[in-house]
Amino acid sequence: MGSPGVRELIDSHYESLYRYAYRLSGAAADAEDLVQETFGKALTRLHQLRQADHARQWLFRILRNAYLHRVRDDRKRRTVPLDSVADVAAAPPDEVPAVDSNDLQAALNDLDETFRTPLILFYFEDFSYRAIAEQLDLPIGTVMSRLARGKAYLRSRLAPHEPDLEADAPRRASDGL
Amino acid sequence: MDCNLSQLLLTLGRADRGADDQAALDRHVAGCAACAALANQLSGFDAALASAMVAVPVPATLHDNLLMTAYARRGALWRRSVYRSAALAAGVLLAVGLVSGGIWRYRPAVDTAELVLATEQGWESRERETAVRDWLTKQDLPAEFPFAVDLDFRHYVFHGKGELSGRDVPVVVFQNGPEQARLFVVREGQLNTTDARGFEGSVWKSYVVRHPTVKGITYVVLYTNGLEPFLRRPPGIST
Repeated sequence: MGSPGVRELIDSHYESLYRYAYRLSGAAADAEDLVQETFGKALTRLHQLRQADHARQWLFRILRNAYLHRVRDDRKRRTVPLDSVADVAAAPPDEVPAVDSNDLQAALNDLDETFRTPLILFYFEDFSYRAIAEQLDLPIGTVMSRLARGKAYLRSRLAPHEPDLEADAPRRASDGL
Repeated sequence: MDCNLSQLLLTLGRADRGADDQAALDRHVAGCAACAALANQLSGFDAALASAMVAVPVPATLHDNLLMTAYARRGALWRRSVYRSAALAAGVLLAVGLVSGGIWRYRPAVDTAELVLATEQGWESRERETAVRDWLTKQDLPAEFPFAVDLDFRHYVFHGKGELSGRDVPVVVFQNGPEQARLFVVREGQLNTTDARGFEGSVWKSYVVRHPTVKGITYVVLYTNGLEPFLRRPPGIST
């Protein structure tokens, strides 16, 4: 399969890219800028895309790199460390709460990028552990560990029945791997 | 599989686990009420989280904005490519023009004074002299003539073979106005020069000179008025 055109790329992927960018950046304006930047870079590197069925991962990678480039120098960004979060939550909430999109974003914004990105990719369709590992250039075990800890943190933030996890705010975004 | 491992796997959520592990987990959950409850709760939370994760309203104008920007960028890239090619072509043309202009502008002008002076200073004659001496050397003959005079090669007109007593021998010819001198170079093996002597006619005269150091080489000079008209003089003095 040959390389797709710009219009085809935009039509097929702009919505999922925008959602990804929004969850990464936490702001609509930043998300739109990131998507614009992603397609701008894709346009100049279109010759690098050999197969159309790799376009999604290729675009997600460009967007993530663009995002990392933006935040790399922003050391003032507040993130929640995860040292004190257990690898696996001891007990889930008795009832499944409806997760509010804004609350989710607030929780994601507080997470370090190393945990936020795997979580976001995980909950987007078609991204298996292996796909996330390839996307982030990480061992699959590292991805699983970060996901488990990130999910435990989200449960602690979004499920009000887990006072222990809420009380022990994570301190450092390092999973030790 | 025990409950601890089951709960760990369930907490990890969907994963790339093998068919055997998945089957073992399914069997355990089917027979364990606590793990089944945990599985339901976790999968429900996962589903809620996944739903919330993609519940991001996409701006209605985003698609059109992206297309417009992409087309504008593509146009800019195309224009940049065209401009770059045009600039390259213009550069090449300019360089060619400058070089051509330089060649045309700085081509040498005819300098008659230089021509006269160079000729008077014997530059041209030196080239002729060198050519004659090289020619003599190539025939294993002495490059220098055995005369106690300095021949002016501006009066040189010919070198080659000339007939002498029925044999073609090397000859160098000088001419200055009506005066002429022919210098035949004779090897002993070609002609017998033992008894050769000079002779004077009404117009032409001849004399014979043997090379003082190279044995077997004899010069027979045929001339109209001696070698005087062919001698080198200081610049500015004409003959």
